Amino acid sequence: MTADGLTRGLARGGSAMLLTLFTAFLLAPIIVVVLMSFTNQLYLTFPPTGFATRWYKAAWNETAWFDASWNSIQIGAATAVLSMILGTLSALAVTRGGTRWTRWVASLVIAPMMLPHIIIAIGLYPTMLDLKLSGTYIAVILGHTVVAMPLVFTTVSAALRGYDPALEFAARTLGADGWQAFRHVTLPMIGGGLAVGGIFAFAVSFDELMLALFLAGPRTETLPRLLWEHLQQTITPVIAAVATLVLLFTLVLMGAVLQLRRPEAEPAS
Amino acid sequence: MDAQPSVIIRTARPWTQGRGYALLAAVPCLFLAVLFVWPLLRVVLRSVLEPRPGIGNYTKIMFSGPYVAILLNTLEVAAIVTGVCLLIAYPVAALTARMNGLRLRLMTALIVGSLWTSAVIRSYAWMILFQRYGIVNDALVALGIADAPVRILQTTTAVVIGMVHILLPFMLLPLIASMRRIDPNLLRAGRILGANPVRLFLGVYFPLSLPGVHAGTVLVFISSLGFFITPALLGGGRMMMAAMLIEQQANIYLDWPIASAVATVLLAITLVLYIAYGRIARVDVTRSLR
Amino acid sequence: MTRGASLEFDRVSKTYGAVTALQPTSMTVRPGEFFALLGPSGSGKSTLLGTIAGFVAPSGGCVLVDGADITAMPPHRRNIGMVFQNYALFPYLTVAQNIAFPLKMRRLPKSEIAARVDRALEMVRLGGFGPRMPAQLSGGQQQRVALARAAVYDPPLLLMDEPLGALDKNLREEMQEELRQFHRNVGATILYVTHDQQEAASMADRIAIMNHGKAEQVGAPHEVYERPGNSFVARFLGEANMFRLRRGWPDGPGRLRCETEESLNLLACGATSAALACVRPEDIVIGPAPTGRENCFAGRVTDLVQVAGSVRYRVAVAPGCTLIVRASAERRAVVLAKDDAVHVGWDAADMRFLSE
Repeated sequence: MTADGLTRGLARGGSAMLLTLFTAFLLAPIIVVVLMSFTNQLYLTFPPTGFATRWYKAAWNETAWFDASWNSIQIGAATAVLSMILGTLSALAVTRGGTRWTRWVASLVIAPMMLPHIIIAIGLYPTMLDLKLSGTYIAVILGHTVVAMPLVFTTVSAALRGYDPALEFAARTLGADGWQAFRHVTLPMIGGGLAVGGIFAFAVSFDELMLALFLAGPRTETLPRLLWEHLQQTITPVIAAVATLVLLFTLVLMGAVLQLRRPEAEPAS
Repeated sequence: MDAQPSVIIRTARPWTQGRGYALLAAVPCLFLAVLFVWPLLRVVLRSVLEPRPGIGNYTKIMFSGPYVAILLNTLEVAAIVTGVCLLIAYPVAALTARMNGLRLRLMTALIVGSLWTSAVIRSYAWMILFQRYGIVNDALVALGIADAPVRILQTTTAVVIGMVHILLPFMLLPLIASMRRIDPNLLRAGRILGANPVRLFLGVYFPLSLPGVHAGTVLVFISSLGFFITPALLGGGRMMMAAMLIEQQANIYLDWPIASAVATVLLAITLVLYIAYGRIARVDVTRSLR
Repeated sequence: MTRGASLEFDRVSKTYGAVTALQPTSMTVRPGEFFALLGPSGSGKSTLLGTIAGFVAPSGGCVLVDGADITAMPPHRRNIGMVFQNYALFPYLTVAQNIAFPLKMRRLPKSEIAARVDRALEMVRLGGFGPRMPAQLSGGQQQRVALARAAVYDPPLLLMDEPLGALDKNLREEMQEELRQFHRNVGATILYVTHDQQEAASMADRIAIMNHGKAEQVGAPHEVYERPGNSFVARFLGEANMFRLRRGWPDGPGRLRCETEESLNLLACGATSAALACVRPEDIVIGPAPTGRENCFAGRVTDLVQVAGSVRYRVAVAPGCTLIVRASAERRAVVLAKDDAVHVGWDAADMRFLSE
């Protein structure tokens, strides 16, 4: 083997090892949670000493998990809808508005994504008290929309930039008023981006803890908050069972996004 | 007055498409004004108005209690996490940038999938791994690295590992994006001209990947500053970061003025970093998130 | 058949901050006319078109259609048809749905929509293409769909923004023929924007030559070609041999003798203080022997190109002065080659005076 061939072989071996280690690092926690959920003991041991579904049964028998999941789904769905409306409005204003101050609107809409949620949370808490909304679904939904809206804004803005704005203008010259042009042209063109943004918004809400800690109440307990409260006390494998189900749900959402993105993502680049 | 022969007085302003669209911003702007700008303003106001007007809260933060130490610790952890992320992500991104087809799609799915996984759940997983009688300790003892189980939880190491795990995609995605834009012909030309790999990397590849390095670094550092879940679960009790301090002051000690003052400091640091970065690099950090 | 609308620009201008896209422009387009706005990119022609359709808000002045000011009117009430450069067909609608779109917006009954769409498809020779998607059509076919969609509601004014720009040359010439036919059929006024002088000259009744945000000259194509008002128009519409004049003196009644910067002695008709004079390449006679014209020079062929139907020579007649000469193919009986010594000449009546 030549010296050149040797270095090349080493480089290839090195990069394969690096990628393997990286993959293992990224996947390790997920594998651990799934294994933990099926263990028959209180601790996870290697090699696993047995297989059991008792933690799933235990989770099943605790209504708190159901209530929290249902709360999270409701809040997530409402957040997604509200974010889609507000995100689309701001994306339209910024990409099609064409005045100087729309750049400031873009910064304003993006800002909540860039700031630590804790700051927004301690600011929103007294605001919600003033509005007499503290602890209600509305409070959590509004809070989540503040941080989820930027995602819809970015996906819809990208979709709006992805096609010739002459399309909307053509509709206007052909006799469509502003709403009709939106309904018949803009909406079909941004549909994919809007749906992806909506799922993103749902996912953000579904996973959000900080705002929920400050804005939710006992009746509006969300799933991350319940997980959090359990983790503060003891770590039983019941949490792993719930976490595995949540991971599965996230995987489904992600699959939906990949499916939606496929047709439009390819020619765009 | 007007000497021109036919003066047509227009009654209305010319119609523009932009104006109609720009008006749409009114609703989201109102929404954000009430539920984002006002709350932030309120945090800042509260920090200087309560319990009595003045900079009392800030002098308290500066000269008493653990506040400054915690803020410095936050910056330190953020810096370590950013450094570790960059060290891991740079070679991985360089390899990924050269992939195509199925391998690229699998890699993207892995990175994006990680982005989608709940931070609470991932921190929980590390708690399992790092327990006194957890797998990591078992492995350490079995390999003879440690004589007896060591404390991993509640250390900075645990927090850094957990945060790196969550923030890696934010470093990887901008890096991969900028590396994929590097023209492979440049490197090929360099090799033909006889440049050695090290000089080729330092002279060509690295400078061209800098936009990604900048974007990723800023993104990871700013996100690290506000981290709550991971440090709370993996470092809880022994190490503290700014977001935990704010939450503790507000929720446990009900000292909202101090919480507001710490939050204002955190807000100021974040904004300064963000604006300074925007000035230097003129790259839209948020774009790389899509 | 529709009655074409009249169109009037009254001191229409557009500025973007400090940049002037369109200087105050006044112009009238007659009912039923095929009017072309011709100019290089950035000359303001698309801006002017935009003020009619509504996507450019004029900074000053107003646009009148049939005498009514439409400047403040939203585009959907202007009842103007427009064909866009890249057709702007709705990609998620079929050809028939695309053409039906304006009729649907006007809430016409379904049966009438169907009948009108069929008629429009027939008119652009796309009968049977209704159920296809735009992406399945060729560029020329998409172009015709765009035309049908813009005309199906019989707007009295049709705007076309470089509609043939994306087509290849052969198809473009075919479509020019078709557009002329289309114009005769529908009777609407057409305002046509292009940067292609041949396209404008072959289709339009009148053209306006635009440059630097202003209309340099308006007139029938042959008028503008034969009597260009300034050097830009002369150069933009066809080729011109341009002479910069140094001084001139009378030479008999209505005749002027001038000296150019290259010290050529030229005879021209008319009396003027203009700075430039020009002669068209096809007005120059070329041959091995002296031509016997009023302006006659000896020179040498430096280059020649054969184009369909004619030969284009470059002839050096003086240091720093090369003339372009176009000889029609029948004259090629006399075969001239590169480096041949030749004589060129033209009549004083073929010389035009120009401003800068």
